[in-house]
Amino acid sequence: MSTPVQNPLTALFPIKAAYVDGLRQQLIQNAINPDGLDAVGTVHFARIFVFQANNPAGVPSNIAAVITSYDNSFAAYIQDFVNQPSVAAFFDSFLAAVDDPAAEELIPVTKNATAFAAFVQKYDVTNPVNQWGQWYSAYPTLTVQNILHP
Amino acid sequence: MSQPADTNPAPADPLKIHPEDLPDIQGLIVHGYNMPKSRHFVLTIGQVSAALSFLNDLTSGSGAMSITSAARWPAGMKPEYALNIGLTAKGLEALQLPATIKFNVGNFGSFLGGAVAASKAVFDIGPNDPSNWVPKLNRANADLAHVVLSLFAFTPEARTEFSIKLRAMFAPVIPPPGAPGHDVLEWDVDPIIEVDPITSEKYRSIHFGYTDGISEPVIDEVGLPPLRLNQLPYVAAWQFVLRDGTMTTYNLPQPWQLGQNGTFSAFRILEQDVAAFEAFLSADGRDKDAQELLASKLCGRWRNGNPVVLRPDAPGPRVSDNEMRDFDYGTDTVGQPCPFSAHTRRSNPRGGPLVTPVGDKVDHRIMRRADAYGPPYTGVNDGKERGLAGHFMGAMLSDQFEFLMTQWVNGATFAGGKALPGVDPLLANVGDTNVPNEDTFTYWENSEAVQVPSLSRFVTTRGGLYCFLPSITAIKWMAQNGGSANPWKIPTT
Repeated sequence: MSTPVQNPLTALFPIKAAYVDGLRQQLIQNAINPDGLDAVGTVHFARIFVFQANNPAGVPSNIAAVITSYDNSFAAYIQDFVNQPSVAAFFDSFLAAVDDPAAEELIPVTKNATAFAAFVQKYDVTNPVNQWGQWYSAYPTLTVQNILHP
Repeated sequence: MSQPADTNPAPADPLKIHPEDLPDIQGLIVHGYNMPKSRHFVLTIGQVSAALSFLNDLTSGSGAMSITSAARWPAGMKPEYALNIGLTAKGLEALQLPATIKFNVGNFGSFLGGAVAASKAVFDIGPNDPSNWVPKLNRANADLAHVVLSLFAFTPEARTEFSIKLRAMFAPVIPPPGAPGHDVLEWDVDPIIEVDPITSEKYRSIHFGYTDGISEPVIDEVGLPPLRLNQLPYVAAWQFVLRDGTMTTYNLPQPWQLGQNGTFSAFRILEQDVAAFEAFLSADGRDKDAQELLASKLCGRWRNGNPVVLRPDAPGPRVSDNEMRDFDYGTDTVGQPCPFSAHTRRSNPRGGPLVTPVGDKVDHRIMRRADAYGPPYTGVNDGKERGLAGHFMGAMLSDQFEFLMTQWVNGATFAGGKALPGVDPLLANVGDTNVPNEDTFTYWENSEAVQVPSLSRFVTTRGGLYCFLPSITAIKWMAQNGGSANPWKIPTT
């Protein structure tokens, strides 16, 4: 018997208007080095993107999305996640762009992993404490490591 | 009076321990004393001024006994006793330290909340629930568990002698007779010392019959030799001794005089049901060899300590000390010869495959200073209590002790949640882990799973305490700065 091990995260953060373009440029030119995510070993997929400022009506503006599927407990592994230098470097600059006074207090994120986890989960629309829609996995019991090392 | 705004004139190196640091660090953190008789005292602070005098006496040389630092002893010149001290968050509160001290809630929330608050998270539930703990530490009384004193000596007589001195020192500290918290928990620990019949080498074992205390993390220190082939990496000092630095995963408790060179400990009293363990081994008519093979699979070591990965089929003579420590699980993704549920693989995966974080050999490790208590098991179910008690230390309880207990020992997703994951058979709270088929232990032979049913709980938590082991500087600082008119309270957010 196997246990479902995967979880979704869909965090939508408000971004300061003045930081939107800079964040987009960073994601294009200097995104998180995949080696850092590989080293954590629990992240299946990660999408990070930002909606540009001043979109037409009906299209989100000034919002950054962090969407991942990951294994195991979010809180237990958040320290391993932010211990990766490339991950920490990205989120330190990311938090500076988030339009929430609490974000700055989380920098450097490596030293504030628990608070960072709580902050992310505050903006996670798929946090289990929230009402949310459907999430599907074709192989919910397989971890990243199971797939890489069958 | 010192204030948190004080700047540390010479911050300690976060990466390595330097010789000049040793007299400031409590000795227990850096090395085991190898003293065969110990006693842990847990007491309540009833008189603040007396407690401050006690702390002063323990560190000024003016008292009958002193806290033992990590300063090196001249060869062959071990002291007659060693003594270390830890304080719970409630204990720090009882000292009435200035309100300006700071323990970051995100980093040290486990310590601040205490072991009872953390019990559910670390699977201290069901029979392990704090309601069932020894009275001084249980759910009803834990707020009055303030100080743990760990005394080590060479003989029962010396333990008695120094206990008398220590009791006299803390007698003015505790509440008066009849007041809540007057009782003092005294818990004797008497390591089982075995002698190798071939080499005459002495080693310690636990009641389940395994040699213990083999692979401890080695804190990086100036002057250590280069790593041996396959030796686990040295661990950066900040992971076991609180330091400031850009690479640390926490904010040093403030002021620096309070935080630097301290650490945290999960003090644990763990009862071991040896009769149940032996009954599990001998079930289904297993002969002696089959029992020993199963015992090796449960632990990941044979009872003489030899790693199963080096000696898969039979224990053989004890391998060298280096071979005992310097191994890993290679590319084994099956659990053969060492099962993924084996105790040593669960508690120290050595960067083995499938276990996250990938390739990391030193994160989430704990420093164990625990030994056997109670009479040795003689093969008869005598109904007497026996087990293991002591300190499990690290700079962040949440990322070390608690991570190990939740994600590895009791975790359903260890090693990637493959089929038949199981739990750590020697330490898990079998029956209350929520891991499917937790009562089936699985090992592999010829790539075939061998399933052994009817695994039961062999270890029951009888007590727990989260404490701060301050530096010598910090103990002196507390002695000087306690009794504040504006005292610190445990923060809740």
